[in-house]
Amino acid sequence: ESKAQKITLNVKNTTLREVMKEIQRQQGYSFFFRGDDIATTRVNVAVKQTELRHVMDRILAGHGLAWSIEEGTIVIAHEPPAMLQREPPQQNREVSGRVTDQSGAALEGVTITAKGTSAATTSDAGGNYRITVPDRASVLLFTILGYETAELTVADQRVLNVTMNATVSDLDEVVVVGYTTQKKASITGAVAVVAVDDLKQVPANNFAQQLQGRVAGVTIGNDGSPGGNVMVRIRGVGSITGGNDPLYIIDGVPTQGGLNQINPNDIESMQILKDASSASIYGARASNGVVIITTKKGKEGKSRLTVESFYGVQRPSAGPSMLTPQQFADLVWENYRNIGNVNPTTGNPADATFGNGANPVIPDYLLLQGGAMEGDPRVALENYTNDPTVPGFGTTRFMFAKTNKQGTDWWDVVTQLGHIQSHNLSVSGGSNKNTYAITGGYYDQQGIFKHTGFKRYSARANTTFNIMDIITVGENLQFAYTDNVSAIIRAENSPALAYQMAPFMPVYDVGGNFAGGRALADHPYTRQYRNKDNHAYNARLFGNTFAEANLGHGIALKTSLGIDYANFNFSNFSPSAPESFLLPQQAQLSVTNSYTTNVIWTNTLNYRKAFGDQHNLNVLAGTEAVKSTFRNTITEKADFAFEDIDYRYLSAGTTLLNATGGGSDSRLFSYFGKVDYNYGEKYLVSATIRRDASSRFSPSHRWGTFPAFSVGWRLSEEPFLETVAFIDELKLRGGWGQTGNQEVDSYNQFTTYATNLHTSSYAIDGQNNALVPGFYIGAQGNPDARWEAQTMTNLGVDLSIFNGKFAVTVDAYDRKSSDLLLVIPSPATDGQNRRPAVNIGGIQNKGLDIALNYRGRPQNNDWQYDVGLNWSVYRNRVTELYGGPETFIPGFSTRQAPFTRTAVGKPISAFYGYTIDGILQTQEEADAHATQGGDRALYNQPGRFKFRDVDQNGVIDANDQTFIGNPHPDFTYGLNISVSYKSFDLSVFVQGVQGNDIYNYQKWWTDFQNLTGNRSVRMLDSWSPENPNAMLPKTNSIATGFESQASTYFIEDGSYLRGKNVMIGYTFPSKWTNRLNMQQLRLYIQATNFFTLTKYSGLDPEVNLSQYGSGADRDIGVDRGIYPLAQSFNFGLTVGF
Amino acid sequence: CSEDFFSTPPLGTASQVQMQNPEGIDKLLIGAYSLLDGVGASTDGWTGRNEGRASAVTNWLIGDVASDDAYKGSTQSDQAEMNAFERNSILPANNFVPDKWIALYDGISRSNEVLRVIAKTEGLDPDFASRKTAEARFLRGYYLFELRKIYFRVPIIDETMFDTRVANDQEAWPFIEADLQFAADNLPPTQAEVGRANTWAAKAFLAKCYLFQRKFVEAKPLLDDIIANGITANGLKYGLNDCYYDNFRIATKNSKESVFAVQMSVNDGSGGPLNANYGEHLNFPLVGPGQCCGFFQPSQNLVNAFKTSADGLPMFDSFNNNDLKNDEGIRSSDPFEPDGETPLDPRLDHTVGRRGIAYLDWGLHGGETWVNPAGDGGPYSPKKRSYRKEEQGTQSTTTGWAGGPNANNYTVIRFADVLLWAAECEAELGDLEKARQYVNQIRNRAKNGCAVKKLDANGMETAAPAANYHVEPYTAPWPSKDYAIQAIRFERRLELAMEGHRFYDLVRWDIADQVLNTYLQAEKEKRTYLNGASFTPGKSEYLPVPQTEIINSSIGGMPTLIQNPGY
Repeated sequence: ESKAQKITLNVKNTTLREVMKEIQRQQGYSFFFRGDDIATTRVNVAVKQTELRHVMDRILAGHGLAWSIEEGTIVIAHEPPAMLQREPPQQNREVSGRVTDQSGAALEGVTITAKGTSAATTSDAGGNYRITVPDRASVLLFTILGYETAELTVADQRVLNVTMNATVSDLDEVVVVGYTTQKKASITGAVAVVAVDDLKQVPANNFAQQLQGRVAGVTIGNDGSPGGNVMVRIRGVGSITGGNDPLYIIDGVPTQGGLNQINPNDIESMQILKDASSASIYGARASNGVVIITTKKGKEGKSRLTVESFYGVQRPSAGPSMLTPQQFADLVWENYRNIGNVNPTTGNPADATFGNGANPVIPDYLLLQGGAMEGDPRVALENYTNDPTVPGFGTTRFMFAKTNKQGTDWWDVVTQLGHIQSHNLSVSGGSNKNTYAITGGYYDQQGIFKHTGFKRYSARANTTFNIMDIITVGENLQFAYTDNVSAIIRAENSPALAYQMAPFMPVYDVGGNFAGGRALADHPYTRQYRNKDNHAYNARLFGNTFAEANLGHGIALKTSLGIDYANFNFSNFSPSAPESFLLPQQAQLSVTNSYTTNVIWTNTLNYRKAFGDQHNLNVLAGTEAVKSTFRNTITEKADFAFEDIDYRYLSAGTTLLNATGGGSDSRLFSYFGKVDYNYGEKYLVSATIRRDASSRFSPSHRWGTFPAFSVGWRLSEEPFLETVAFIDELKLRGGWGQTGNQEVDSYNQFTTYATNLHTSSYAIDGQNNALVPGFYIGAQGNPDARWEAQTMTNLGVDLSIFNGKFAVTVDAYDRKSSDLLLVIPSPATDGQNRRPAVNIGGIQNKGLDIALNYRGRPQNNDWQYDVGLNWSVYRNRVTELYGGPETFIPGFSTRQAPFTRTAVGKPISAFYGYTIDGILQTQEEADAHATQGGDRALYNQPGRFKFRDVDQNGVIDANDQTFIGNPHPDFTYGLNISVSYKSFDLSVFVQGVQGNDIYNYQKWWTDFQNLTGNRSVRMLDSWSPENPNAMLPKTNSIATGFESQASTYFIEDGSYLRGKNVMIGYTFPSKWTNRLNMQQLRLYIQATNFFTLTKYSGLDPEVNLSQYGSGADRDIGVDRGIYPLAQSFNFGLTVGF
Repeated sequence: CSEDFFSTPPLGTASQVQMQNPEGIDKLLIGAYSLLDGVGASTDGWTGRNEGRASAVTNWLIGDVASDDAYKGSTQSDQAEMNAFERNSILPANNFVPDKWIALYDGISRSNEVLRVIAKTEGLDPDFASRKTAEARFLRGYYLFELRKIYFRVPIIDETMFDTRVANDQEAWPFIEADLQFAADNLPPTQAEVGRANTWAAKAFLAKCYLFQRKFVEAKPLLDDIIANGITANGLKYGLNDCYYDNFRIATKNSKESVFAVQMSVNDGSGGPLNANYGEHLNFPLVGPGQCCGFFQPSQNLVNAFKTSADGLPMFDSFNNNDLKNDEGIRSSDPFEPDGETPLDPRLDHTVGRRGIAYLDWGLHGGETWVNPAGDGGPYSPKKRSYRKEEQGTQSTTTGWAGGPNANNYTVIRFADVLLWAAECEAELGDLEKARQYVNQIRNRAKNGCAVKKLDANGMETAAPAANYHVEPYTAPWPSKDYAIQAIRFERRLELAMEGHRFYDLVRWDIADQVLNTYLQAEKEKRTYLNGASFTPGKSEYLPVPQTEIINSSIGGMPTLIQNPGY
């Protein structure tokens, strides 16, 4: 044989001529048909890394054809009829043999089946097997994990000894790339082929969450809430306000969100196009990378039924360390003393809650008006009411609760052990004409915060029908229905509020109602409880119907009509909250309905042809049109006579508060083309061009052109490397390309006038209860806006050595975004209308992605192991902004002024604020220091934070703020180890982030005396003359507002290493499963997030993004009170019939 | 692919062409009026900026809390950055500094848009065009007046500017005067809708503008004209209401005393309280109306100022020597009787809610339970922006998280204000008698004007006054100009207390340094959190130009705005 390589083929209904050409291409044999009709015989074959003789047997089986090699040429001829007659069919012929690996060691547990029959067996410890087959034409299949499947025709042999080859590289795998498929070996761009089976090991509600840590160059952030959001960033951050989400192509249909409505279990394969040379075929939406997903299709063969299920429990991590009631009260006293709020006679502080003694006293009861001791006439039970409207409320009638002197563990009150379960059932199969795959899925996750949860019901049907041998018609459709009760993730609300609650407050008051009252802050559990019936429902139909015609001569035409229809319904009922004391306490209902429709029509023409021996050409041309529509209505009503759950409908409310709605449309039309050429699979060239037109830009800027070009050189195919035996594959790749970003408001080009009953209407006629509507400029338009442009250069190396044992892929890139669509912070003198995005600004991301794989197949065949490591690094830098070097784009403000800044020369969203140089120790030191806060009497005192006078002008003011932290990591990594021993398999996945900063905004609430509520135990380490090396300044509620401004105090190291997943599985031997008529039975147990190493003091270092809307990348790494990830312990099974 | 495919006009909004007609112009004008309340300019929900806490038209924070009339109230940790206003230690990056700036410039932006659309609209009736131009310029003049008063160095933005990053190195007064003069010349005396500006309102603002520049000569004829001939937009001859309280009452809004008022509405179909006096939403007691938050508490100094001498006159120098009896430190369930002996100006109990005195029709103010019991802000509650119990749910909001916002107008210029300006002019120009007459008009109305009544055991109103009210006019001619000015200034404080004027009166009289530092020295004994606070002359008179605005004004990296002195 001239070539040692194995053959990989996957063709359906293809002429023998085409198939043989491909074999020629792969192996170098020429071929000859002995008989005119043979060449057009249509065959199906799917083999992977199989030797020529098996491939030929497999191709010709059932077609009455035979083959031989004559002088280096494969000759195919009709089987002589005589042969068949000479040897009459024999029944039940017994075959035996021994299965060994390449070293000759026996392989135990190899499943041997006779194709198309129920005959099956497994090899014993000596590798021996014995099986009875129907006839000489029977084909035996030898399968075992970690080895290539061997396929042998029995023919005349009674003894069949088989050598099985350990699985090696997947270079011949054919993967889906932009609008077409390509052999992995001939890819020239940076395309990551995701190991989908590894992803599915992580229990999560969407595939993006499962991607975390798996692919070099792909950063995932998510919140831990059921149905929670996820952030996907490919190769850094390329835009400031234009959006940074990648484009997802699912079965050819593009989408940019709603991942929770896609059942991750349906995914068969996933490719990530990381660089511009591979992604630019998607043009204007590709600048953040493209994720290509193919869902499970049916395969020829008998029907297979597969059930995949798991059930588990999730538990919250430990809560934060907060003060006990007595510590809290002591802190109040200490503060009063420090600010001089003491009785001049006694020298003692006084407080409505804690009395007026030298030491604070935790009262027996809590009233709105403060504390009360047992025996106080106000807390006699008959005086209790929880209705603040009763006469005498506050003077003769009171709402009161018994103090929890031990302290309420609010973390414990709001969290729970939640369950998580997933069940998927699929049926697939097909004939050589038609295939089908039908799946049903159910996913149910309870939150670790009480009364939160997510459920998904999904159904998918993927079918193909072959008509007249040249046309394939099919559809891929999923319908999903999700039901989500979410927690509101904001510092002001649960879950963060859970640990900001006063520790001495009980959950319920003496009347059994929720305790509360504004003096004691809002109660975290009540909000969750009252939100428990507020479901958000999403119904989504996603998929396409397509028709493909193979016109012969390598020409294929395809048309696809895609639909992405989503309907959202959310009923949010806020019951009255009598304990809150904030008027009005009226129940309100808000109902939101919206629908989004995207219709996508894609047409492609593909021409795939080999010329001569070495020239391989693939040409693609196509058009795509996208029509998007969004409509919504929001209605709010108040005054509900009852608050029962079946009364929470709009018709039951008597006061209309709000009825609003709107919509937006957009259109996209594109032409695209791609040429791939290779010479002998050695020299690879690819070129792409796409022209996009978007309704989001005015006619003069509507069209954008996105070219790309890449080359590859497979050195391992060169003669000079053929002698280097240990190198299987060595490829150098280089690419350059441009992509675009059109994520701008659909109406950015238009100046519009709007009316708003709240902000532009006025009772000009002096009426108390009626308005005259007015108008204002709602939005300023920018007809000059055009695409955000991005240019990316990528250089890569693929190396595979030692028969596929080690594989390395390294990619280096330089990603430059320019003409960023920025909404420039405008001066207030412009008025408060929506400003348009303008094309100003640039960002550069440079980085390195490294993926390493080791596949261990030791001689002792009981063991095998795989190790995968990915490591990536990016450096992000803003290169240009609108107004020169001094300008910046601020982040979001909350209780603090914006503490992130996007400025030239810095990474996006760097942290910005004051630098604390410890604490002023003496009056001399304080007097010598710059004037702090414009108020020396208050802030230039011992015990106060010492703010650094950066500009050294003797005044601490806004000009002394500097960049104090970087949310972008030094590097990120993931490590996956899979080990199997006989029927057992173990996989461990750890993932980490190194060198990023987190802005712990939670400390504003817990480490300073801002608002009421409990404090962190860190406040016990406040400054006093006796404790000069304290972490926090001397308690002083007057100074706290200034001292809790954004500063280095809030910056923490966010590095972590997390055990993401550990799983132990057992696959039952086929001798057992066969008896149950099963093809497969595997059980596993699993733990997720099983350890975390971090110095971060907050609940969870995974805070990548706590906001997910527009401009969210200006808030990276800010801990605003996240929903932490849960630990889960799961049990699962896979059953195949 | 044809252009039709890409034709996706914005939905649910209008284009400029659609606005270019009389209806469109007036709708834009309504939009410009609607920002008078200082609420709703920004859409920044995170900061609560659109809630108008620091941008309320009443200027409760910057005009009263910053003065000797009021404390921020509630607790020190609640809206902590407001504390700096009370301590006069505001930094340019303070989160509340930009609020008023944003709201007022949004008002200017909307006013300018009216002018731009008028200019672009062909075939307008000239009368209509000049009337609407006058209304828009009235509003712009008002907005810029407030900016000049509060921020000193302010950029002047007119309808011709599309890049508004212009310097703030130009005195704004002439521009304000021009706008108000145009409005005075072109506005009709009456309007079909009472909320619109008329020529008299424009003249009154122009006079105020002169007063702020100490242009008494220019102000006097204008004020004489207004007092003699002025009428409200609904045609009522200007005059003082018989009852002082009627100026702060929903049922009597837009009275003859209302020269120009911001119209408040509630439960008006908008689905929220933002058209009510929403900027005041924190300023309600915890029990009684609103049940919120306990901000904006009258100071002890203010309460003391209402004490009168045996002859019913103010005690200019001695009023703060001892405190009027109060219930501080006394539990609501423990007994307390308010002072029944000390002679008091009856306006006290229309201005300040205090224990034992009827709070409108809500029964007696309950003391400790009404103010924030954990708070630092003393025993008193504000009263003028409130609503009556009988109005709860009809004239007060039923939506939103704060229950206080209601349909009570804020009268930006009351006729009493006009009379006191006139008194000031006369005194400054030498006619002390005329000045005394004006002041006595005010005092006589206070004397006869419906004092708060005592309640019986059942909470029913009796005929007896709630306290020993004793207020008399100045019967003797004023001995000197200095005395006259002192009397007029004191009268302004009493008459207009908690109406947002005090701080800016002190500034324009150039006595803020002296008055406020004296006040802070004395008040810190009662309010320990004021320890170390002081007013810095030459700086504290104005808010700083907001830090973010200086940055956002940059052209080519260089800010066009400069900071105010001292910051």
